[in-house]
Amino acid sequence: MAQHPHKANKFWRFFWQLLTVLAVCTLVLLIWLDAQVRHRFEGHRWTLPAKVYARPLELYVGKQLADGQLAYELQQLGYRAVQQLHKPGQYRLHNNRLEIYTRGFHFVDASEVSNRQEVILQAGRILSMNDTQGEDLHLIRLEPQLIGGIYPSHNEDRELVQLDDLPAGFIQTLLAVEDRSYYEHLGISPAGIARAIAVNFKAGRIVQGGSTITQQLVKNFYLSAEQTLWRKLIEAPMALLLNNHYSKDEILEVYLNEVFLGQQGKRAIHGFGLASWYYFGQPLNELALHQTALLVGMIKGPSYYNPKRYPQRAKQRRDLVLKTLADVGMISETEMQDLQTKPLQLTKVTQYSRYPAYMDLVRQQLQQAYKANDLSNQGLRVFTTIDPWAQYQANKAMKNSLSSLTKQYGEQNKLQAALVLSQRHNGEVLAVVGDRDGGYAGHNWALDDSRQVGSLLKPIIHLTALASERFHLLSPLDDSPLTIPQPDGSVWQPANYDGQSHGVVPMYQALVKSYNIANVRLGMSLGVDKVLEQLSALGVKQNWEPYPSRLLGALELSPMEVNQVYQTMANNGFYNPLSIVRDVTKANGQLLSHYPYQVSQAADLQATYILQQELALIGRQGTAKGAYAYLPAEQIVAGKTGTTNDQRDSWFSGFSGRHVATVWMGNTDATPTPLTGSSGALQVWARLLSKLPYEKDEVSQPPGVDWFRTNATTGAIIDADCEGLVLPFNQTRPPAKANCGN
Amino acid sequence: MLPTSIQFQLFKTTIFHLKQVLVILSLGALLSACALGPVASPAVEERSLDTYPQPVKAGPPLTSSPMVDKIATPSATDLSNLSVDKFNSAGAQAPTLTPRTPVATPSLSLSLASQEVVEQLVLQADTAKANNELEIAVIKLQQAQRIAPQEPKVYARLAALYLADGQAVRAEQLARKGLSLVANQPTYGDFFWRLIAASRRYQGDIEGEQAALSRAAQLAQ
Repeated sequence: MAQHPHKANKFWRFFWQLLTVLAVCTLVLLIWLDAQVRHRFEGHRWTLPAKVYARPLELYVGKQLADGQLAYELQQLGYRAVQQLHKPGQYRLHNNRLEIYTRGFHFVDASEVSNRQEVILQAGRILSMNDTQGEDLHLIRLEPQLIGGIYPSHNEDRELVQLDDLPAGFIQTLLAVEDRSYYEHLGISPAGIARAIAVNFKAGRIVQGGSTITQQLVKNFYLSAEQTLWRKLIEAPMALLLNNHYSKDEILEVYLNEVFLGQQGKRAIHGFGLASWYYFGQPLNELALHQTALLVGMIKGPSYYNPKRYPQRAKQRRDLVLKTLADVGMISETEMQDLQTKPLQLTKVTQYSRYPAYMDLVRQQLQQAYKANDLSNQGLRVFTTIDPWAQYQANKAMKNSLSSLTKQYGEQNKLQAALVLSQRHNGEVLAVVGDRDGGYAGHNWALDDSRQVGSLLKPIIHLTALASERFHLLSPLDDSPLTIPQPDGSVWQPANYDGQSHGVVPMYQALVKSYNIANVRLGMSLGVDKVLEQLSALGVKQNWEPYPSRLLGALELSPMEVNQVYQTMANNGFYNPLSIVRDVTKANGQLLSHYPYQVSQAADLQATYILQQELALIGRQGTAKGAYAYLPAEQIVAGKTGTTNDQRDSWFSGFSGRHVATVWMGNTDATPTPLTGSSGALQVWARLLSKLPYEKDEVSQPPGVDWFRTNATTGAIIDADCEGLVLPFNQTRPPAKANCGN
Repeated sequence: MLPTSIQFQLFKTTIFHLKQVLVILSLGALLSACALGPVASPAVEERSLDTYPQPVKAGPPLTSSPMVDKIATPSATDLSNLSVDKFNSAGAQAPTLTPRTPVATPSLSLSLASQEVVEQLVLQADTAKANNELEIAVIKLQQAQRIAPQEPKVYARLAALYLADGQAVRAEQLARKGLSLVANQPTYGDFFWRLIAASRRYQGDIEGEQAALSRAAQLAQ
């Protein structure tokens, strides 16, 4: 009997010792958790991908816009067409009058403030612009469209928002659905848990979690997605600690940016800011209550309630959220019913991944100056030169042309295509199509593939000739058969496309008709090396051996490189390196780098001007006249078709107004196609140019050039009142003069 | 007796809530020990970029160069007297020299882009330059160049800006570009040739400088 008290004492001693150890362990654990909570919350920086923007649409008096361009660009920016403007992000376009409530944007050089403005158009050109006070405006710069991002390996993307950015009713909706006592509880909600217990026991299964917003944030923010016992055990204390250290608003703001709301391919959509753009194509602060209700409803299961994939299910969920709002008295029954009748209003605009070929270029340029990590996690803002309207039309022109070609020649499975479009006077790349489908990432035929350029080289021979002071456009060239001995003892006999020789032809005609033999003779007389030197000066530097066959384009270039060469010729012989990025800023708008306008003279001014007129003759009379099936007669088309041996490659490169574009088509394995430069690439080029705003040719005539009426047969200049083609000549070496018919 | 599956669900539910209740009760008393005062707010926007490599720039920073100041470089004030040209003025007519009477140059009238917006942007660039915000000045002038690529005034400003920054090669090329647009305008021609002369001198090309100055003198006659 005496042993019992002893045993009891021993038991109690052990019990107290155990309890003390447990208490100490718990305390240590809590201190550790507390440190974790504070360290990670305060030290947390979201890894924000670099945001890549298109060029902003600039409106000013005199600007020419293409048919449909304005409405398209506004739609892409998520502006809503309304009858009356009430808030930013709305517009009304009616009878050549645009009323717009801009959103404003912080540009590198200035901030555009949100404002109501009016723009009057006439035949696609802006006639006047003013604000609501009737003050004339000089320039309206809309916010640039976000076209992509450069992601870290985990592919998380978000658009940060602050509590001030939220639309009316957002917080109330969120709390009504997710955590009604958020501003009262301590991070966990015993009442919520009790309610969940009751509901779950009643249902016989877990239908309600009882997790507060703070707990949800802890789960997403600190803990892995794994459902481990350990995770469950520390979730509640961490929520309590978090609540204890930070204000409710601070926690809520982080939650708004952290919550997972969908997946687009590899890209994870986090936070309400980005979700709003992803699902509705609008900034969060512009959302109506039924749109807010949808986003909030999706928290429960972003994949299950994905409105893009399961619109019916998503609508049911949204309507349930709206009913909850009515239950808590936030809206009336009538309002609920009205909102429930509204469609989901999802955006049809697909953000991101639409311009993979262009994004290749952006990455290429940025990687020269920035580390991959900085691009993917510092939230940089990259302002590019891409023109969304031009890119849209480029994709469309490619698609429509390929569809026509399929009808004409049957399915061409191996056929690929690429396109580059740039601004004639500064080399900014406006659009790139990297393959026949345009919208898919993969091999980029505009950048990564080089093909023989064929006749595209002939203008460089002519430029060299015109600059040499030995030739003018009427110089006679011999197109009779030619045999050139090769170093290995063989002979090379260039032939014309039609298999004929054409005797003696004036120089301009050799280019307009693309006569091979006459051009080879011209090139040989200048020296192949001189022609290649001129080619290099125009913007592509490679060490080609000066074989005579180079004169017929037996050298390989990518569409991007070809465009660079033609860009320089179009820009009066001034070389602007093709550029893709204008500025890079930090997330807060501070300028990190500006890519300046670069220019250097690469060709003789007068020779280039005369060559441009020769190229325009190719459009009027030569192999590119097919472009006028799509373009009005007054538009100048200056460019050159290229068709390589056995029609393996179909090229067209040329300029019109303020645009330079290059199109290539060919089979992936470089086998023959049914296409020539005219029947393939030119069709795409002309379709595209017909959809772009056209500014009249702005090239100013350099000093030292005169225009004369000419007689092509005699190769002489004649009186202005005679019949004959008008051509430009260098004043220092005009052709001989003659009477009208002699 | 309830079916086994329901019993299991009830058991899971009980455990689920029991865990939450136990954790609250056992830790509630200890919380105050760890409850330190609130500290700095979580930074949502601020991100450190200290580790950035220097981005590729076109040249050295845009600051004034004492060496250039010594040269008789045409300054922005020289340009302030030059108005933005009418867009149909640059070389629209061919000169009449040569054996036969040349015909009028075909369709070379320039587009009616807004002159006001270009004037505004040039003014803003001047203000930025006066405030020593040279990169902003460059950005404004490039914006003007996109709107009116044939406007010589924009190239004149850009060239002068780069020369003042010691980027003489770039300045000369911009002046050449400008020169290509002003076939028959002696005022601009003179300015661009003087700017080319100053750029060449900066590059140590005294012969080139003299050649450019004589071209300027020819235009002045």
